[in-house]
Amino acid sequence: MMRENWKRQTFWSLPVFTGDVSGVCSALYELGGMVIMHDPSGCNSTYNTHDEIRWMDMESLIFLSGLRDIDAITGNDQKLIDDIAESAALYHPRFIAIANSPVPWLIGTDFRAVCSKVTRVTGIPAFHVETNAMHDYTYGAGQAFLELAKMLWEESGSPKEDLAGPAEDAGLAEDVCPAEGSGDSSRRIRVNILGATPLDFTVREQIWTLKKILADNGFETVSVWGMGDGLEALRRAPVADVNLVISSAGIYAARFMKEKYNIPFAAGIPVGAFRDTLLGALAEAAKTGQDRVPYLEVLGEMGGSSTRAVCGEPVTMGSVAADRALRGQAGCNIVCLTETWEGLISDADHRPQGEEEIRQVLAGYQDVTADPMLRIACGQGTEFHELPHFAYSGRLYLNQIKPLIG
Amino acid sequence: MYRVEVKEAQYPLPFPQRLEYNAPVHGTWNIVHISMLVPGAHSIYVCSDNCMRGVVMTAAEMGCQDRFSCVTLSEMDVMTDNLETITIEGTANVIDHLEKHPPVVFLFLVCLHVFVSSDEEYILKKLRERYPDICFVRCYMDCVRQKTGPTPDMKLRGFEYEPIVPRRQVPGRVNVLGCDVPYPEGSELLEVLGRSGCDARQLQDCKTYEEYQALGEAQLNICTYMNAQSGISELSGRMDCGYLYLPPAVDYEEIREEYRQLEEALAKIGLKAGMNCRMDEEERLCEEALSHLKDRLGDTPVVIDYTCHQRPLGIAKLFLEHGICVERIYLDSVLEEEKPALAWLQEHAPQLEITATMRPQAIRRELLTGSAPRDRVLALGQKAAWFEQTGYFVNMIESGGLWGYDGIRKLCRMAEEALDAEKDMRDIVPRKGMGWPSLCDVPSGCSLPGADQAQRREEHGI
Repeated sequence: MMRENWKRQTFWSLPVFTGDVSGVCSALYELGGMVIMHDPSGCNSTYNTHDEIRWMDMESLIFLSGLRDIDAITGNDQKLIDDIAESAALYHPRFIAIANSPVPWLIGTDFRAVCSKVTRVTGIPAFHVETNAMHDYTYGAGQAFLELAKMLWEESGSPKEDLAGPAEDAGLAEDVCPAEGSGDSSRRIRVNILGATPLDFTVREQIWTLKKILADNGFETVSVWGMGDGLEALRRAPVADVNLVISSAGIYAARFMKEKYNIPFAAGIPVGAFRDTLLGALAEAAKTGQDRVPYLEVLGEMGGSSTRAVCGEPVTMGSVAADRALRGQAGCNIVCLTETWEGLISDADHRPQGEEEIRQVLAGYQDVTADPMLRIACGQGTEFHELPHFAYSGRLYLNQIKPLIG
Repeated sequence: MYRVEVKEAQYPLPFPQRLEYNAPVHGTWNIVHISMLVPGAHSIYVCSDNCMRGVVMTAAEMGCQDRFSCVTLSEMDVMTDNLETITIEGTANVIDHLEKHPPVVFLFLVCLHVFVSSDEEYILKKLRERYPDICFVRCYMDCVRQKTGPTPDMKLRGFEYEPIVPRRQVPGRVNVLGCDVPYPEGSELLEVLGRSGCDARQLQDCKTYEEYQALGEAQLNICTYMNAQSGISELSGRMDCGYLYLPPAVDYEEIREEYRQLEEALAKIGLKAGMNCRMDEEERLCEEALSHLKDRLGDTPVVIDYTCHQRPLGIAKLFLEHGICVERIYLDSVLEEEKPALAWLQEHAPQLEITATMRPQAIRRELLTGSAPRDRVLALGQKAAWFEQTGYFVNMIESGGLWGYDGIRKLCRMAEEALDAEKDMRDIVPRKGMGWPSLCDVPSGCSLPGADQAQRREEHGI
């Protein structure tokens, strides 16, 4: 039977989101590891151009393997191992992550074996992130956080109680969390922030604002996954009472921690009027152990909308929609354009694929909030509210990206 | 190993090919920019998401989103057939949504097509049957083959001329092709051709598809860029016209030889060459310019990169011969046409440093430069400027339209101008495709407020 999926894979005027390999690099950027894109160099070397704002100012050991056809054809994985070992000896990274691209995926490169040999040769833990360049950044970054979590705890088998105590590298980056509020920290709810990459949180200060909001409301941040905290802070994540998933890229590690350490999560970002609802749900999740997606609860109570939609990554856009719903007492639907969506959107929401479906869905709404590049996909009379998203329009509207958290 | 003294540098690869670093320096053109030179052409890339991102955003940043489309690949496409169906139907779906059929579609196939042995002829046959009014040109973004064969860029520099249908040759018509940077009016090459009675045309002059097709009326094709030699040579064979490779030499003897070859080629098409008869005088003027530059530079070190000019070693030789302090050359490979300059440098300046731009050590600039940024260094090229962290640089790619004796003098002038006015390096070098609009903001260090973007869009009429 002939498939007709090409319509869902065609974009005649819209761009694609940041891809999975770039998502891996973004997620692991600040952790002192070395990330290898096993790729011919060319297409994916553009990671630093369109998908990374830190490249000019913050060093990270992100390299391409420069895969050649002859090495792929002959299965010469030894070259990759040797090349990684050479650079590892130079820089002594905390870990080595290997993301792969279409050709290694196609020929079935045995990355488990490659990583095992790399670890044996270098003495540095190495892991593979299962990308193939055919997915978006939410999947790639999500898988990177997941594999990192496995490396941190699964192999060491560290029980939760062994991980107590402050991490030496909490707030490793230049920005230190503002005052942690007042009160007895032992009564505070301990929380990890999951999914904090510049692809979704391009204005870096938002993360410190978020930590301050949490501190001011009886929470203690144990770790931030993606920006600011180092590997030791992340290693302590299992001591947390609850995880705050601030982007869909964080959901993979959240589900892993739920399964392994029974840590519940709440998803959302504190935007405007939605802030208190989210913080309440976060505390509730910590108390009950039940996962929460409070923006869906808010939007569900409003009963959806046939005229208003927010379009993009579901956690951010769901939170924006919840804020507007709470302020305007009007419903709003989510049009999810990214790949990681299960449990993060409702049945009333949309998940179009390909430009044709995106246009069909957006044409049905009179009021749309989305990245400026999606304006052309809306109907002529649509009231369009611009909300630039770095993982979509890249550098085009970089200086117009505003912080949402607060 | 990431830096060597030139005496140790091996041809053609001074450094081993291992893990690669990518500097945030993007002024050179990529395959998106190159294909956009053909008026009215539409580019369709059939590839996976992550590989697509760079090209789709290139098109958007240069304001050509309406001439670019994508078809993404999934695992299922690879499993079910050899990518023929998704390539044909995805391309058709794109075309069916365009406002009008373009005269040319550049269809970019990728590494996956190569590795699953897609039947490319079948793909093209089906598309040509369905859209007989469109000229489909098969192009490649097959980076996996670029180290063992021609790069995608080199191949495209041939494919971009494939739609040209040879026509009856027009006397005196000469094409100057190959380089992304057009030769400006007054350029020595165009001046000489004009004096010889030639009607010289460049691809960049073509505003319409008809003007592009009229390139097929030339009696002689002159290629000036090394990566375009194969493609323009092939075009010349199809057109049954003359072909000449005249790169931007920076050596007096080589320039004289190029003039000799040009004279011979023009004679073959019945033109008496309006040659430069004052070569001694031209060389004297070059000497003056080089001497002036030397005085201006004093002991300021000069660093040169391969993106600035296709003859970085040649420029180093020229400058060193004239007492200018060349300290370092940034390159990752040596071109065949630079072998004589390499040999000269190995003999006369054996300790000149050659530094890699792609080796992992490049991520820490202090490893490359050996010190913190200095008060004053003159860089020729964006990559050299980035690695040296200097705003005193010649902002030029691909020889910048310089050619002949005048090219040498202009290079000297540009170097002096670069010394006079510090540039905003951090705002300039991350921008893609010098010469095209850059409708983006650049990360930290950006001096352009967001509001300026609207102004830039307006300036470029986008």
